[in-house]
Amino acid sequence: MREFKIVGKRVRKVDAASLVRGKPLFTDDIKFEDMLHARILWSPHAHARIKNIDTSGAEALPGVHAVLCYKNVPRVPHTTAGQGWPEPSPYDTYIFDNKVRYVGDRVAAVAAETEEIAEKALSLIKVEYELLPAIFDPEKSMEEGAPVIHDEPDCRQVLPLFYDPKHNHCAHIEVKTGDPDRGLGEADFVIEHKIKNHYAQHCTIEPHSCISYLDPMGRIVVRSSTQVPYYARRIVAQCLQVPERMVRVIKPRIGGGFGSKQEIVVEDVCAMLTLRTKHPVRLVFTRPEVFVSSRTRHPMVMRLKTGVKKDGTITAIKMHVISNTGPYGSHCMTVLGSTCAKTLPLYRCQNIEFIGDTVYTNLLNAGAYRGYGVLQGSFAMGIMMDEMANAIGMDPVDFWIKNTIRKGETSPIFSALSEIGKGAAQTVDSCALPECIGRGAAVFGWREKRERYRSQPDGSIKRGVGMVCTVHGGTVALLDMSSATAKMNEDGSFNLLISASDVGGGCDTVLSQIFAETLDIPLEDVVVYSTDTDVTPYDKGAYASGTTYLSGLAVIKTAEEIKKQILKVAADMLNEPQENLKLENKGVVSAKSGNRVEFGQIAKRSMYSKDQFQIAATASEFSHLHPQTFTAQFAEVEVDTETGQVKVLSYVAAIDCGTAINPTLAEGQAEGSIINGLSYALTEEFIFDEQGRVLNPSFGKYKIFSAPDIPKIKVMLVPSYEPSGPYGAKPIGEPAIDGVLPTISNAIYNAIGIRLTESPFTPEKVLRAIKEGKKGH
Amino acid sequence: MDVIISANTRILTVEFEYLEPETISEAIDLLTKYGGEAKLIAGGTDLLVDMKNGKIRPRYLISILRIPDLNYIIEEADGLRIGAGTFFQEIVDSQLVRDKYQLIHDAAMSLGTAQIRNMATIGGNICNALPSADMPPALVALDARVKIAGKDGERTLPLEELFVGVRKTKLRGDELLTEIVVKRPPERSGTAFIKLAKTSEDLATLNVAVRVTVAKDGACEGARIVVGGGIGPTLIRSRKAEKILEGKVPNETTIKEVAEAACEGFQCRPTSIRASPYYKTEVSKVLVKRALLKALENVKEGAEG
Amino acid sequence: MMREIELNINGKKRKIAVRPKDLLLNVLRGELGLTGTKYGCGTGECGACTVLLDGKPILSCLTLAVAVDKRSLTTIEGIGTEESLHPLQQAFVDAGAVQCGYCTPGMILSAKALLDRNPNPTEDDIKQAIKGNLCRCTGYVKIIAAIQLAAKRMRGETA
Repeated sequence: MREFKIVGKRVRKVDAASLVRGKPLFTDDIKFEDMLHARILWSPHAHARIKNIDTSGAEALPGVHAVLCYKNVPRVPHTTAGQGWPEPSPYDTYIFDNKVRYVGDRVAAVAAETEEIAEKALSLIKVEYELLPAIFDPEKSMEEGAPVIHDEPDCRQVLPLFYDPKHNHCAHIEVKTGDPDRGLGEADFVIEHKIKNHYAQHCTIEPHSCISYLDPMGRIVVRSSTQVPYYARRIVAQCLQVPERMVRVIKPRIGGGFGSKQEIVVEDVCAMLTLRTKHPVRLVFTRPEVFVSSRTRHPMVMRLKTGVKKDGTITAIKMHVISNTGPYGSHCMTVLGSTCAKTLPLYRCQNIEFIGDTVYTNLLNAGAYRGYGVLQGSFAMGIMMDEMANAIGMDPVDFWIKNTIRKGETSPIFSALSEIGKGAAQTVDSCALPECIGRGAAVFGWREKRERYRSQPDGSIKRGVGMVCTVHGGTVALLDMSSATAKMNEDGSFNLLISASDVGGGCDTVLSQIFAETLDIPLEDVVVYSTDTDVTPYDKGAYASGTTYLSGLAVIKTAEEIKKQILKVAADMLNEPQENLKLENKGVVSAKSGNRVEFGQIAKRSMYSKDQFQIAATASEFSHLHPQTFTAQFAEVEVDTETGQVKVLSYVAAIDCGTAINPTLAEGQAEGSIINGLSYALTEEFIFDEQGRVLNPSFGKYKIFSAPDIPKIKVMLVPSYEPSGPYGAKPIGEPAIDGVLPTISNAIYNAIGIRLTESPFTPEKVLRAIKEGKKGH
Repeated sequence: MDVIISANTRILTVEFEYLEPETISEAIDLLTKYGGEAKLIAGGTDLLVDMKNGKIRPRYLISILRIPDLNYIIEEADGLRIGAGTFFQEIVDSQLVRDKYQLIHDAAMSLGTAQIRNMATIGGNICNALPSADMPPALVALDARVKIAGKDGERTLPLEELFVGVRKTKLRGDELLTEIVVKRPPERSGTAFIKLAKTSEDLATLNVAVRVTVAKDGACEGARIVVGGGIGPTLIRSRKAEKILEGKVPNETTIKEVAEAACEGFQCRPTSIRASPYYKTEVSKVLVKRALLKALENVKEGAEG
Repeated sequence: MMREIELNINGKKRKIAVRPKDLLLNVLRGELGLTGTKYGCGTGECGACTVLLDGKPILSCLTLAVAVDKRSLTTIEGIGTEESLHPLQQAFVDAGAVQCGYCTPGMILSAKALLDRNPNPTEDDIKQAIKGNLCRCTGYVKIIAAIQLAAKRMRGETA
């Protein structure tokens, strides 16, 4: 266990004090003079052509400054996916189109002097629709004769990726390693299941928010609650048909993201309205709009077939997936890719077949959501592992231990596939999974509870336990890049300029800790600033659990550059060679003479006195491989067999994220992840009617956990050391949520002998399954 | 079912006047004057949501919050009188209610959150007439009667007769609910309230309120069995089920019979956000059974609410 | 039709002209410049708009400004001072109960109302008190710990 001065310490989040005071830190907390308010007209139909749209009534309303629709906005095919460039998602979206593809799709937008006037203006827009048949079933979407959702000639993939929109088929991935058919043949038991996860909304408490305005030079400034400021800049520029230098994106505090703001949901239309009206324009979604018209999780239909020998060897894994991306293809390939590329390396199995297809439907628009395919893949595999263990009579803990990857090992999946296509071979350089399993099981009381629940008491209440292991590789290897800039101030402090886009997880704090550790300065001497694309250097943004890891590496590199400059000046001031000198406690000290010079002195000298230059550096790092974060998760549930209600009594997660730069923040990420996963597993559900409309776009009817719903939960950070990571750190943002669905399914199975393979595990589903006597295979 | 994706929940677009009478008769005068264009408002937690969603567009809102005569909890010899303008948090905080009318306390506690309980009134909850409301089943189980005042004077009726359908009561346009009177259950009574919802902060999918009175030999002398939630346009009190219990010492078979009877005649919506008709019918029986068992356990010497 | 109302906000009397349909949340965030109170849903289901009315938590997104004329309101800006944080605020900072911070103002006010009534709450009391404040980042774990920590400190007990 390496000890550091600030890294690994539970320091307070740097923005916490201002947040608890309710300071105006969020996008919608600042008003601008002459600001207009934007509202969007949404489609009431799942699939229709706009035959005509008459905006004259709206335009004539006093106080209305602009009404936009497909008629007066340039048609620029693009993707809203917040990804690197060129994007591995099809360019199938337009600011406004003359076709609508789901209930909640954009039709028009208004900017007016008050929100009320804008609202009234919406009601004055007359739209004539030609209804088209809609397709809602992803398993039927590719069939001949199914309604074609993207029949426009200008939709395309910009990378040479599979794309067959005529069959609603927007991604296809095939991976094969070894000989899966032979593997199945060698098995003593072959298990088959169809596993389905469901639509979910991120439910960030802050809705999607944006204010855009023209600065005095005529540039478009976009202030937005975005996880991907640089992508927002690029895509806004693309849609408005202006060069990137004409757009500036500023990210204030974000009230939660979880992937829903890794998309250009509001910025393009807001900026376009500013361009037209020359006014600042405010566009803030209402809650129903967040539910229906922002983004959701990809529902997948996963068909699994695995083979296992009596001795516990997994002989083959076959996974066929149909992923439903909704009406537009943002993240359609990458989420699918991750389902294989980031899930399957966990397993010691050489014979793997993965065939995945993503399809369009006229339901909700799926995009990035914490877990990003790995949640879906782990759901499926977590169940299969449990079934295999049960089939051969092995305790799941032993089965997982036997079949999961270890430090120094590799998986054929690494080189076969990555999120974006071609893989990159790698070995696992740090893995504390055995300790996670061991310590997690001990703290949870696994063996004792398994024994206890072999026999259930009479009565309607049954209890059971389940467990699962997961892996989640952070970043998108060979693609993601992060940078940081730092400059020194007279008092020896530093400005740390980053675009890493803290969504609330605390990366501003974590990166400050990393910077402070590298230069051996107190945390308060790091003034972190995030994010402004005019000022802070490029960072991919907050996704793929890459901020601690990759932005952290960039910050270290930047600090090392600064170190060199400091030592050079110090050497001159102390008149000693640099070899004698080292950084210590906000100063430089000579190991030889004991002489010392403070950072403040160094800064003042280099700023004002001699050989003046600004001590500053910018450095970048790009991701060479995926650092693998492992978890072992355990749940104890109570099932009321008369009402079908499932109550989680306790939940333990042991997580190997390498070095936890800030254990409090890391725990916070894990705890939040798990509770999100639990309400996803048990209570969250979108209800649609036959016309594809969402019937429950509110917190009152789409239920997420409140405080009294949480179980006893314990998160344990099990340390390892990732040599490629900043001070040994690995990602933490996503891994925990991946394991919740299968852990609960496994616990329910242990309690009542019924295997639930379709989430959410609502009381109704459980009760019906009990009544129908649904069992295992 | 209403689709509200276009509703702006941030602002109210309806134009209205906000009137604040200070006496009950002033309120009646205003209701009479403005008729169908007026709506009574207490906390507004239901009404303002409906207005934001465009379901209701009143020109006048008549607030009852400044009428002190509507806010009280008074113990009588044989019961409890609660002013319609009493806030749920006040009911929860009342030692009297907690000690002697546990059923009402439990129903009030299960309602919403601390914030909602500080804003919502018992009268508002009743008059909004949602079948999933938590308070009405508990009140009906205690033989509640409501006092109504209008331009033609006062009248009272049993609470269970007030509800006509979803969001529909027998209140006329000029009338307002002024008081709820609850009867003290006889000696050797026990009550129970059970709510089933998706999460801890949720409207009821199902709720059940039960009161049983038991003779010294254990035979049931009287019962009230009320089921609410998404089981029909109004809550259902099953006199048939109550009769089955009468005179019998309740055993497993009786209770099963009672539960079956209590859950007859449901009119669940075929498509529902919360649960299917099958689920609601099956599980109501379970909840009635459990509530009965709990109420029987709660039977104590001395009147018990 | 404008009506002049007087609100006592965080100890200061403010006179403003509002229309009957103006919601307290929007008046606080707009005319009064108090943006600590947040819009999360507008239908009373998330608690981000929680303020204290005579010390009791209510939802400002479902309160008409005219309905609280002459009443006393507390928003997050009225908790603690510029120089020092209220023990609840400090505890939230110390216990890692603040992630994105958007639910935090409402959460702290609900917690304050609880501790003002009940200085020694059980874990269950705390959960019930914040039941109406949704948080998606923390899973509530450290929020509950922070409220327990604040309660302890406010009772004068050392950690």
